Amino acid sequence: MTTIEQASIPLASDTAPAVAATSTSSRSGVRTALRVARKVLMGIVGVVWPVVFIYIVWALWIELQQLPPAVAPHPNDVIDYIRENPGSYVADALDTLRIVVGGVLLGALAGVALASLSWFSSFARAAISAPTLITQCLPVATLVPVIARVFGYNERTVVIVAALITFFPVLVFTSAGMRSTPAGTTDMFKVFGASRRRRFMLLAVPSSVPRLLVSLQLSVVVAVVGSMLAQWIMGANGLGYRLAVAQASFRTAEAWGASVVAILVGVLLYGVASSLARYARRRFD
Amino acid sequence: MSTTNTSDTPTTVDTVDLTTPPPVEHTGRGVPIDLIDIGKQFQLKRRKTVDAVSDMTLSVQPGEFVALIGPSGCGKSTVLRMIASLEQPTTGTVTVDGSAPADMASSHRLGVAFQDNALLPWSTVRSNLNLPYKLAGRKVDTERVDSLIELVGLKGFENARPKQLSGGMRQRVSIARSIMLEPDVLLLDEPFGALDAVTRRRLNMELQRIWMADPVTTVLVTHDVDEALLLADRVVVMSPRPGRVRMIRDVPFERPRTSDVTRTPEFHELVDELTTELDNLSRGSAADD
Amino acid sequence: MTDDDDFGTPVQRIVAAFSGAVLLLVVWQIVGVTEVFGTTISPPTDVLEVFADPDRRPTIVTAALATATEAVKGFFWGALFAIVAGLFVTALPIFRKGIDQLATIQSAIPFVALAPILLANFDRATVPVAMAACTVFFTIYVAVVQGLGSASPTLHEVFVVFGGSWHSKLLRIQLPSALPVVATSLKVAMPLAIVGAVIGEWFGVSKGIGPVLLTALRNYQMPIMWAAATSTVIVALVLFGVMAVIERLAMERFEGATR
Repeated sequence: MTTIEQASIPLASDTAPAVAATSTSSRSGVRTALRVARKVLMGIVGVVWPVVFIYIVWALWIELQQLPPAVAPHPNDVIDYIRENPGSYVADALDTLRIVVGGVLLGALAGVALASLSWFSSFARAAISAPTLITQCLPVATLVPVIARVFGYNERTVVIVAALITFFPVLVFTSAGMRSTPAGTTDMFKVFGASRRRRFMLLAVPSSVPRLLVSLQLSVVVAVVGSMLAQWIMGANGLGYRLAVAQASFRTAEAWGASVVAILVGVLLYGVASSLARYARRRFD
Repeated sequence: MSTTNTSDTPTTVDTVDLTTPPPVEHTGRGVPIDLIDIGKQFQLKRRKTVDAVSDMTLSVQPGEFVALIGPSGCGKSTVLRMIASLEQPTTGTVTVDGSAPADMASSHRLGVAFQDNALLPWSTVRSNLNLPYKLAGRKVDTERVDSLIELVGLKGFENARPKQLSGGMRQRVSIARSIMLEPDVLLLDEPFGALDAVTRRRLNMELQRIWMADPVTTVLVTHDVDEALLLADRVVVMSPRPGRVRMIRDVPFERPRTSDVTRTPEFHELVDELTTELDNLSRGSAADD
Repeated sequence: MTDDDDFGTPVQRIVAAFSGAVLLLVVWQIVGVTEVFGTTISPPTDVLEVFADPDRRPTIVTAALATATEAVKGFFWGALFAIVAGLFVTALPIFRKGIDQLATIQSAIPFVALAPILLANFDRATVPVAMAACTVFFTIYVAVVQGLGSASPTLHEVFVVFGGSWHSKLLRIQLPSALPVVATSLKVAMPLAIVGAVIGEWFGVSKGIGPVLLTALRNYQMPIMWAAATSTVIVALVLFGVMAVIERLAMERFEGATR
């Protein structure tokens, strides 16, 4: 009677495609090399063509519309400006990055805290549902001037804006995640006599991680955009302020350069967040 | 181990009272389970109710292995869930060792394995097996975990994650976990239901081996008659919804029951008898629909 | 999912939700009246006064309706583009990575950078509509792509065996699988459309709730400002509610196609 199953274990290494050619003929070796090279090339093209596409459309738009530089700069002007002043955007970008990440973490913390509360108390869950709905429909970006009035025209408001934008998606997704435990696990925990606290720490929390990270992925870009708006309106430090100043002085190349950098910050954060989300799905699902 | 023989032979005629437990001393440990006239009613939408179980009475002796079989929807899983404290009976009482199932659960004296193995996908095999200790607030007994890993034949896979294991291996982990705290009652709800026939047969033998190492009061819900006869001391057949005890058969074979036993005429007779009964019950309930 | 965690009966749940909303209003009232955060926050009673005032109410109501119209129009266009892009990418997967990136970049364009571009290409009245469309595009696009790809492989295989054409496969398998997640994204994107419309108004037009908000702020007419803000929330709630009903219908009919 065998006690260990002979069935193959689907380890990751089994599914990795075998690339090495076992044939000794040089022709198949060359063919493989070409195949690999083509794949790499296609990969690069896949990533690069959108940027090229944007450049072409942008350049065409300026040239065909004959737009003066005071209205909108030619992409070459922006590239030139960035090339000539490489370090100038870095400080602003780092400022914005710092503030956004801080705000996002703060909002996420608040969202997780409230989601945890609603897990422990079903009354809290029902009671929170209405304010959550209202604030989900609250256009945070449009209330930036109000928030600035209340909390001051400074960095703190930007952090609050980023936190508010992040808070609601995190709350909703984490709550849902805490309740979507793997099949049978909630029953199993109960039969084994686990206390509510243990059920929360050992089951609900790990179950919620993938969705929590997805909610961060979804809100991080909006947080950047909202923070930029807040900085722009208030004249606080960062890319938004830089943009506002440049726009006011009609230094369009500089202004659009700031926008480009802001977009890069957003795309970067999105990339980080989506990688984390993908990792979480592999690890926790 | 029952000594009564239920097959018809010309030389002996035994009258066996099939509704009371056999007068046999079970050598295992564990506590008794008593289901007294239990019923379970579920509330559906729009004020409709359904009686999953009604007027069900059954006593399980300490150390006895009972299999619950019956047509789909007969409420056998519901009965198990009531013993496990996951459901409350609408009428009647369920007691385990004289106390409520909920008390047994909170004293961590129950072990359970479900059809969906309910392993934590983010933990390793070892970590999953440590779980009962963590849930009971006790220090992890690494030696026992190691010995159970070996007992279920998963040595070398301690650090694998459920995703990397086959269905049969996952169920082994689930079963090892269910007995980790040496529970007084073991509840198994179609643990092998999702596996192919070959694996299921192999794991049945495994379960017998594991159970014989520490025979404890066990209730197994299954739809597989062969499995029930391989493992149980008594087989309880439930009627279709609303479920109640329809028939009980003692299983006369001595343990350990090998695959040779499954080829004996007595075994085939029992299989036929039970299967026919199940067919009749299923047909009857289908006609009622 | 365990539903045993739900509080009480449905009626009790509604009461609890109601009390949550009431609590919010009470806190707002206290904050407004006690001026603990300064005079910038007007209490709900002041807002009600504005709505009750026959002189001030029409401005806000007309403005709110104007914004709502822009938001709905923009939502429609943004959703249309998102669905077309999603269908395109599903039909021609080699473009997927590139278009995904373009969409991410588009979503990362700050409002304040988008505004000059839109102003240069659209007339002032249409800028809020265009801005609203831009705000919803990414969310819906992601959902469309994910949804169209979510039909279980088994369903696809069944279709191959039965010799179904690509367009009937699209119609009968992929679209039904996509509907639940797309319906959810439409619901979630609706408030975003309103944000886009209001910000578009700030940069473009003189009608709509955006200018009302800004003017009230500048002239420090806080009750009007808060009334304007409340009206955007109400508009958003109503439109969100409509989309939620549609989402419910889509879920009931089509949920489960991915399993």
